[in-house]
Amino acid sequence: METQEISSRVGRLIRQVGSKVEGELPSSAEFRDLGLDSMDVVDLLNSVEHEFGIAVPDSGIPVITTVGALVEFVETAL
Amino acid sequence: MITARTPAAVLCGVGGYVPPKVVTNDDLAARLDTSDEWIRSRVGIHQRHVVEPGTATSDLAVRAAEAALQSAGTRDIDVVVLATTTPDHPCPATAPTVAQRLGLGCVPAFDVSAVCSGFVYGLAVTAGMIASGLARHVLLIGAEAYTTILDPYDRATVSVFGDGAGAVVVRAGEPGELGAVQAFDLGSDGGLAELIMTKGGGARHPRPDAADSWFAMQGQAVYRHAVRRMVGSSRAVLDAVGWKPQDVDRFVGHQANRRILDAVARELEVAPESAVINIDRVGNTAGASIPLALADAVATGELLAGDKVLLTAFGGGATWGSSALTWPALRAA
Repeated sequence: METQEISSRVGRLIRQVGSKVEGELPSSAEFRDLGLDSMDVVDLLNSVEHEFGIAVPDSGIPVITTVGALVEFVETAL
Repeated sequence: MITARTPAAVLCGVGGYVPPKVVTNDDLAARLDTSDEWIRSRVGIHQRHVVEPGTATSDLAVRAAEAALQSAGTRDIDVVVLATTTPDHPCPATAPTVAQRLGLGCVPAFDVSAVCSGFVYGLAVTAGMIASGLARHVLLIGAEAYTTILDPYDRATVSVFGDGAGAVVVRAGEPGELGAVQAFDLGSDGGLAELIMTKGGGARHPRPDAADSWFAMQGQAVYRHAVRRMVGSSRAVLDAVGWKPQDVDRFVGHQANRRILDAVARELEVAPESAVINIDRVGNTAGASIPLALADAVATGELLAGDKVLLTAFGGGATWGSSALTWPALRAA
């Protein structure tokens, strides 16, 4: 899957779990700066698992904190 | 001809107790980096009750048990089971003290340790003792002086947990009658032990330094596993009793966190209005939370005879468990 496609789908999921930020989400954006709290982030990672059919381990929770890190994780896992 | 039927465990009394001291979110915000809005939005708690220094788990357990015995209209108890994470002492168990203080005589009494799943585990043990014929009337208590094991400067746990107790009386009866516990699903995953843990004070680390002597919780991972396990376990019990999610009149989840309860109800597809909620007033009281929620719901008229009730919990261990029963006609004590 192309990086652009992954980014687009990740962006949609970020908004689905509660972010009100519009437009393209910068790769460096921290989830908390997009309006997500700690449990929203868990919801996001769970929805990424469903969306892409991959597993995000608990150890990923504290280290996947930006849009770019999540896109990169998905790319690697696919 | 001699016939024998396995007796069912029938709930016949319920009671709850919280200590009088209330700590509001604003009280916590006065000494910690937190706020009423922060706590309400993340965990749905407005206040919690906490013990004064010198008050222990047995003190709360005795008060809740007295209420349950009054509700049941009997003191004819032949086993006392206490679910707790915060026994009065590491050794011995607290249940014998509770039985003695209640004047129940030299009955068998022991603690069950399954943290926030403790009440459901205790209910399964109770049902088993009744089914085997070892007991006819069991007093099952969930009681916690949880704030005694919290780091007072850890906002993540201090904002969530409270103290309290709930108790039920369970008697031998018939499988089809109101109050009969119909099914259980129990499980554990020791690979998740570190998510919810007090590292020190046990045999692995008997004399800890200050940091390891407090209870600690990895909140994000707990949220994730709690929702998954409570949903899966609830589905197993619903399948066992042949109920559809929409058949559930009252969904009584462990009051861990309002967002966990909402997520579990949503994924299970039980009616949102079926959820019994008291976490806003009492916080997370761990092993006491389900019986305390049951007692509160009886007192407020939310639980009525004939209601189909689903119980589910997730806690340290990790442990989880669910049960289903049809609510009996009870009076609040």
